[in-house]
Amino acid sequence: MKLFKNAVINTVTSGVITNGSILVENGLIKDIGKDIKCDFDCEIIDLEGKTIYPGFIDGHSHLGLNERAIGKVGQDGHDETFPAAPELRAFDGINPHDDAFDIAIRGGITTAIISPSSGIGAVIAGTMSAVKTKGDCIDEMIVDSFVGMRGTMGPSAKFPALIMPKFPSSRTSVSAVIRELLLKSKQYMLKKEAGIKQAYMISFENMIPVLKQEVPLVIHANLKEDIFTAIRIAKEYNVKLVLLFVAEGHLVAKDLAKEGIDCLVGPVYQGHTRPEYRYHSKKVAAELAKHGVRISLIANSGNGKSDSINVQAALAIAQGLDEKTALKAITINVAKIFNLDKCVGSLEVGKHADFLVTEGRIFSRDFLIGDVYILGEKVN
Amino acid sequence: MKVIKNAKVYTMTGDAKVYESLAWEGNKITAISSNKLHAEHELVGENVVITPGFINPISNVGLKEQFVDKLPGDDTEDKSYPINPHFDTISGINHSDKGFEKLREMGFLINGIGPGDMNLLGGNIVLVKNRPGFVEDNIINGNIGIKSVLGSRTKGVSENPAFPKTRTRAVAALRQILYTTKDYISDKNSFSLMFEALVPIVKKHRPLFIHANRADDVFTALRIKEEFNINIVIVGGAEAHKAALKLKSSNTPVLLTLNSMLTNDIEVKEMRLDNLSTLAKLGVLTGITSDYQLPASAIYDLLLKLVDNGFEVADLLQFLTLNNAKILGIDNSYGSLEEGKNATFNIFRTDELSHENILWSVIDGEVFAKKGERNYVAD
Amino acid sequence: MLLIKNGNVFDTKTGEYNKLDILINDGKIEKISSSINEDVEVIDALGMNVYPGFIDAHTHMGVMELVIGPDGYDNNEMADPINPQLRGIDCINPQTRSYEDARSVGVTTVVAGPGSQNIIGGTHVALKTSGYRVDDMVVKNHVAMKCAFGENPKKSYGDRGIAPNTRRAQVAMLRDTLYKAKEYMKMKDAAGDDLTKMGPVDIKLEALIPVLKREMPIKGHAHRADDILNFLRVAKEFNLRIIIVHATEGHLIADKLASANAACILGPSFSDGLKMEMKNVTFKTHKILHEAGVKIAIQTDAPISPVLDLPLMAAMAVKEGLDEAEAIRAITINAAEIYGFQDRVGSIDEGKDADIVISKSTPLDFEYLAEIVIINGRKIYSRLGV
Repeated sequence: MKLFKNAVINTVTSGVITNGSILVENGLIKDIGKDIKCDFDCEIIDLEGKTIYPGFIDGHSHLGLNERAIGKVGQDGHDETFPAAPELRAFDGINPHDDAFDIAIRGGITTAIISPSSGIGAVIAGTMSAVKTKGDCIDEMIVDSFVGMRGTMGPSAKFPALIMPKFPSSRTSVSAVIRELLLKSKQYMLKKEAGIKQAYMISFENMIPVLKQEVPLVIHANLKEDIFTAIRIAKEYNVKLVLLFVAEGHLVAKDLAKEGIDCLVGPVYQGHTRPEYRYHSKKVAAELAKHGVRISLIANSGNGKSDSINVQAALAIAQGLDEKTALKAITINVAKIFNLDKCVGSLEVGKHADFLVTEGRIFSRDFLIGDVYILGEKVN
Repeated sequence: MKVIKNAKVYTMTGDAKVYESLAWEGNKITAISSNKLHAEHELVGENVVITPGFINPISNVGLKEQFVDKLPGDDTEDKSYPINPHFDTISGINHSDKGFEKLREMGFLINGIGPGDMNLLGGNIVLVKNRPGFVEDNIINGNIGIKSVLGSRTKGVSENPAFPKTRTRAVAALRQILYTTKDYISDKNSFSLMFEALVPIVKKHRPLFIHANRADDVFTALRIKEEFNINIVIVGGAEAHKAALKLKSSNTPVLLTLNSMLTNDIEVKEMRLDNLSTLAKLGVLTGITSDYQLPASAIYDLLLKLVDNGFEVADLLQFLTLNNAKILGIDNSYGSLEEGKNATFNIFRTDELSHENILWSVIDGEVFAKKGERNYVAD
Repeated sequence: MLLIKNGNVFDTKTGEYNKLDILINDGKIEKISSSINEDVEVIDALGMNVYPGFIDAHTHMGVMELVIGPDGYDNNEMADPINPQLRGIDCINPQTRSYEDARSVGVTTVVAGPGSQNIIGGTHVALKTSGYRVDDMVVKNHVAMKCAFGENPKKSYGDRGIAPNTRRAQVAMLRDTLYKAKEYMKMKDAAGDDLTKMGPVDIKLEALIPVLKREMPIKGHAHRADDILNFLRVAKEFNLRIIIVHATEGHLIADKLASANAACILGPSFSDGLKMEMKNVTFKTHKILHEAGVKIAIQTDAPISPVLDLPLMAAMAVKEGLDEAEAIRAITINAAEIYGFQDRVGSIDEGKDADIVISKSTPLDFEYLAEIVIINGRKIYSRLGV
């Protein structure tokens, strides 16, 4: 057992505890509060009055899947062999020794939602997993192996028709790929439930939790038409939808709030090189939150600056996002969006002992992340 | 009946000892004894050192013929389609490849020949006695198992989209094929040569030999083993020591391609000579095989390196003989020298086990002199 | 609420103008009468003409957004010539310039969707020209299945060495797909709820079932007379409800079109006929077809030709002899009736959507300008600024 004492603990969900302590057993928070005493054989760690936050969660990343700086041998995130590939599983390709994980830890990320990439020709890219950012064997780092089915809509998913006519080369075809997959998966599921003999297909098997709303369809959509098309499809098949990137989210915030759609927003400093980002604004997060949309601020670690989640949040705050929501957007909101809130996202009894020992004001340039703990063990 | 007198024999069942007689009849060892033998025996040699024939588990000898023009001689990798579990390796072997003779001269009397590392399911591995002549007459086992590959070796082999571009696709393809094979087993309506080849894998009668070097690829191989309850052997294993606990608890053997160190492949950057002892100490059944991209005979240069680096010859021999035999499932007849086992062994002039010192080889009881040497009796 | 008073209201049924007041409430035309007095906002249309919002019967507005480069080209799937499962509604950006232009001339409803590079391109949707979320703008979805005959599919695939390479191939592939759809429909009907009898579900064939059942018309791009005849032949074989898009040489086979009950959406005729199959393009087609008893509507095919020119198209048809009232019907009620959404728009009748255009002139005048345009009961355009 470990007793971390003498800290200012920001639990995120139950306020701030001054003179706080956390008692950790077997990687879980056994007790948390003011001035806890440890009766058992305890290792005592004095945090010297520093401020603790729950480990940040990056709602969208490619850590270990598109490995940093080793070239083609490390690129396993984008596969355009088939436009609909729900059979691909991110964790089959994650290399825990990608040093981008260490960069992410430096930025305070203790859990990452790792996803196959969007890319031309990959409309449904495979399953997303929630993974701790430190370890040697991916099977032991997995928090939940299937938290989302990744998809992409719009110009990023289609082959440019006039240059490279390969299916799908039009936005309607991209939509048709998703719809066809849902249609076929539904038939497979119904046949399975009725006990009818059919070939075992790992692709359709992976769609069953999506059809049952146990796992969301996470769709990259920036242009508002693509956002609306994603909603249209989700309604047609009654699946849960989470939107990713959402560059034009501020233009349609009211609709998103009305439809109750969670959004993974960012990176806030996204460039405007592609037409689908032409109306992107740093205001997206603030606008969405203002209208009541639940947001996660993503660092896109493994594909962007992996230790930037603090900076992302600060930029969003400068555009009007309130601090409390910003903190939730990198902790408990992400956990809730992906159904992980029983184990991560805030500091509460029973949850994983993932936390950051910090100095300086959060969301400012002076914010310093010191020791990072995952399941009670120091990882940096 | 033949006999060798006064030989130091590395039996692989204990410490090497000097025995008065090692005798064999036909292709079986009849005696390894400290006593003189009473029956009539033809004396083949005296005062020599004997080791079991070395085993090279997976190589390209015969498939990638040495000293011939590239395409006509090269039968190693199929670049048109990566899923060929039903390919019989024997149909690609050219017995006249000089590589066989070279290997024999280096003491490799049993050779496994199989597909390389570019096809997701390349075909089977055939085990062959290294006697001169046609392979058909020398088969020990026509199908030891099927070769598979994880990692980045399949990437960029060909523009053909059938070749998996990513690790996730390779795993998905393998998993779907194994599931479809399960369906095939329970639904014997149609016949498919391809799925028939996979039935013994799914039924655990033969292992999948999975090329995997990086730790995450080794863990992936173990994950597939667990999901389908099949037997696997890791080939390559540059970072297998990082998965030693799981390898041991799942009884998964490793064939280390130690000479991968000679290549520039980024995935084998952690291959070291000590990986051999590290793995063995952690309780993993470990053997040695050659990196497929190198000539089969390169495995021998490697052994010399190991000896230069402080390894005991006797300890090395274990990996090349009994361990390899166990991993290939032929240890009931090969890999060690015991009464009743197959008479296949190397005879060295002295205890310095370099290939220049090989006098001759005995394969299946038959004596083969080294090229240019007569049968030799030491003083 | 809105009250339009004293205007000369065009009656699509009679083709005449009557001085009438129109009361608009909650987006609908609530009352039409010679004199209405309510305490609401009034638009005085004295001396001006009042029309139902114009309808452009065939466009690709919002689908082809080439100002942003290849990313915006969604007009056609280029890798497969048979795509009945595609839907125009999935790729329309109603913020493109065409929609703003449409409002400024009084085009209040358009039919938009995939183009003609494919043998079967997908479905079109009828939508209002004001709004930002396409789902909220729909008048009727899946109003027609788009198909194409002639040079376009031949060139876009044949030139790349892919089928179809010939007109014979086009027709054969279309018939083949329709036969497969027929079989699929039979299998589905036979299976009912029994999953064991149901073969693999097919999203393309599913999309063709409403066409086979005549619930959805199929509209075919065809310029040359023989391409039109190919379409008529296939339609007869499968008993389909058809609409001819362009019908450039329709005037050569007017009687056949009439007896086949095929409606024609004519245009964009403001061209010299660059493509070979368009060499006989003329505004005379409209009069000839109308007098033969064929129902006609007019299109701009925007943005191929500007939606701003829809009234001009009608004016040119009149110049070449088309009856004036019919010309206005061709950009209002006819399009609605051809597609089947006349319950919503197309004429000024109580209960229909309040889509109204007020102008000092008529759309048949070259100097036509819209003064005020109302969509769903809201003033969305005023020439002097809203």
